[in-house]
Amino acid sequence: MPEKIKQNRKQSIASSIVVAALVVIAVTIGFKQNHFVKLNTGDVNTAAKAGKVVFLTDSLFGEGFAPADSIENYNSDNLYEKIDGKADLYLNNGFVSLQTRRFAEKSSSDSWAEAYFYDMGKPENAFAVYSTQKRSDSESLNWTQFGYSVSDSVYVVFGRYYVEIFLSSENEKLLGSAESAAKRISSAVSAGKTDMPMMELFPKENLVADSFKFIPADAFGCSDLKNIFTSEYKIGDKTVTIFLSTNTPAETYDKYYRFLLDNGGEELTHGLTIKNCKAVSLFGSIELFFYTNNYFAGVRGEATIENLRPTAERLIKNISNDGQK
Amino acid sequence: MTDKNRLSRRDFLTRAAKAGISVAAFSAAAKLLYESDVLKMLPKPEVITGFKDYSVPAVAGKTMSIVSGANRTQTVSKAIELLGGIDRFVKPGETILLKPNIGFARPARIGSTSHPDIISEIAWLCYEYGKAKKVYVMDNPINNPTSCFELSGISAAAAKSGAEIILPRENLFRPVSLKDGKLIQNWPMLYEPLKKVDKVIGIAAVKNHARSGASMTMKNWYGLLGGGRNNFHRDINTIIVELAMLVKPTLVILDGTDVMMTNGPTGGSVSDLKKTNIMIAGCDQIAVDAFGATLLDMTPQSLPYIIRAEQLKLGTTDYKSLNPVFAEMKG
Repeated sequence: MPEKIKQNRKQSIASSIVVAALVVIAVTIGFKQNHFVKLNTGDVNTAAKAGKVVFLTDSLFGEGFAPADSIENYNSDNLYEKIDGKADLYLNNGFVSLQTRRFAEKSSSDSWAEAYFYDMGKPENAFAVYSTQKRSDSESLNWTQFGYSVSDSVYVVFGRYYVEIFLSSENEKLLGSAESAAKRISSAVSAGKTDMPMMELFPKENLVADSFKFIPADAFGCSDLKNIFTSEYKIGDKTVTIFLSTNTPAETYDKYYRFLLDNGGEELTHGLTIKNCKAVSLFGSIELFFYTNNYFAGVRGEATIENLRPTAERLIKNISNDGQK
Repeated sequence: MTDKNRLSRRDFLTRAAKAGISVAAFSAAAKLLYESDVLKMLPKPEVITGFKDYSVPAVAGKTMSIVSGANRTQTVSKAIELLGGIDRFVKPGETILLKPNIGFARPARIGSTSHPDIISEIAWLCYEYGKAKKVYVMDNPINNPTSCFELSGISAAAAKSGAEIILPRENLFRPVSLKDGKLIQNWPMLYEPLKKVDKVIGIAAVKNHARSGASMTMKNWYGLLGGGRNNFHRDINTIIVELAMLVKPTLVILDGTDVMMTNGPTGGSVSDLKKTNIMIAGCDQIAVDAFGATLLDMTPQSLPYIIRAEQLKLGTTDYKSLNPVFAEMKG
């Protein structure tokens, strides 16, 4: 066979391979375009890698446990995929990210715990979501500043982080393991003491232990009351509430007064010498509130003005002392 | 290279021209085939404009029943019996869809999901007395579907009673538009199984809900929605009403045995629950939810979606006007 024909054949074969490859590429592109699948935003493993540092390590629950699932990461776009309607509470309080992971006992996969690790950006935000959801029958954890457990779950604030651990059953041993896991997270986070200077202003006398709360918005049904700290006090057989906020606009005082009157409140004399102070009776409850030193504060509850006044005076004194610092 | 093998100018030009024509032809073909908006390449699915009416004819005095007792198996069975028995709702040879709330991968004992005892009892009643051909259990959970069905105990309950689980696979969704609807327009919903079944029974638990105030039987249809349904949270009352307009169920069951009073809809602890030991069955989902609201220490009037649903004549909030049948189960 002449050399030239041989070469032409080789070239034809090579050309055919190139053309065939191009056809395959074209067909593949066409096929892919026709079988386009919209991104499933529900895929947490690909849609959100919000958490950068992993605290929910394989060994979090110790020897007898193993991870039952991989870590799930959520950000503000897909938080609802984990906690649905409760997402708003977190999103309205500075939510940054959430990591969750389930751990099961090696001896019984039916016995498990699921840890939720929220980064809330700031300690106040973590405290807000913690205190808003606090269960009434809880038992405080004595090894941490803000933490409690109930029969089947553990809740703790570590600085800017809020941790929840839910259990598969009400089981004391499992609860103990969850508390140990929370301690391990505490060591890993090294958040130290959560600084809440506002709490120091609350009078100590008659204070109901562990009753501190932070209400970020719509406190007491009033849309103008935001970022309010509250705590409960025992006065005789009555429980009343002290509320306090700082850097609140001065007009909040008037707005709250009008809010109470618009809802059927009646103004009372209060006998306090402080300026910008009002007392309003509403549905059997008394509101004694004031604006001083850039603080908006007050006492409210089903008690007489005479009963509320000493608690209010202690609060005013603490605020005045704070103003002199 | 020898002279023999050297390419002549003519050959070179011919080959270069051929190559150029090939490249141009491929480029032209690619240009013709290329579609910049890939969504246009998707086949246009048929838009569903309504669901079947799964309801059964009304029977005076048998629209709603309320049974007290702690044992869900007993109370749900009694509640259905008081409405005329399962054979009023299920006919021999029919296929039945049970739609529980299995939104979260959590154990049933904390009340964030429907209870497996209710699922297994109703499935059993459908087979045993309704002579159903097939019973399905379906939901589109918020968390991973397989985990939700497993951890809630509903997979096991279905297996025990011979019901079949339908997981929310993508090919089961169809775009749905509700006539006069504001939100449900061309929205993916778990339609394919609904199309095939004869009857639909909704099974929900009474829960506090951070957004809507309460999650009960009307809110339970949220689990038929696909897509980024959290967008509807901004207008949650409207979407609940539209779902109630869309789904006319055969029967709804509302479990108020342990009511989630706080931290809903996920809860997390038995500390969020209050034991009220009530089971409700009914053909009017608005009336059932109106009664359910009272278990949460709320009034129906405090839940805008219930009021709107009544205004649209989807049911009544005055459940007492239906003369609900009461019973108490001992033990």
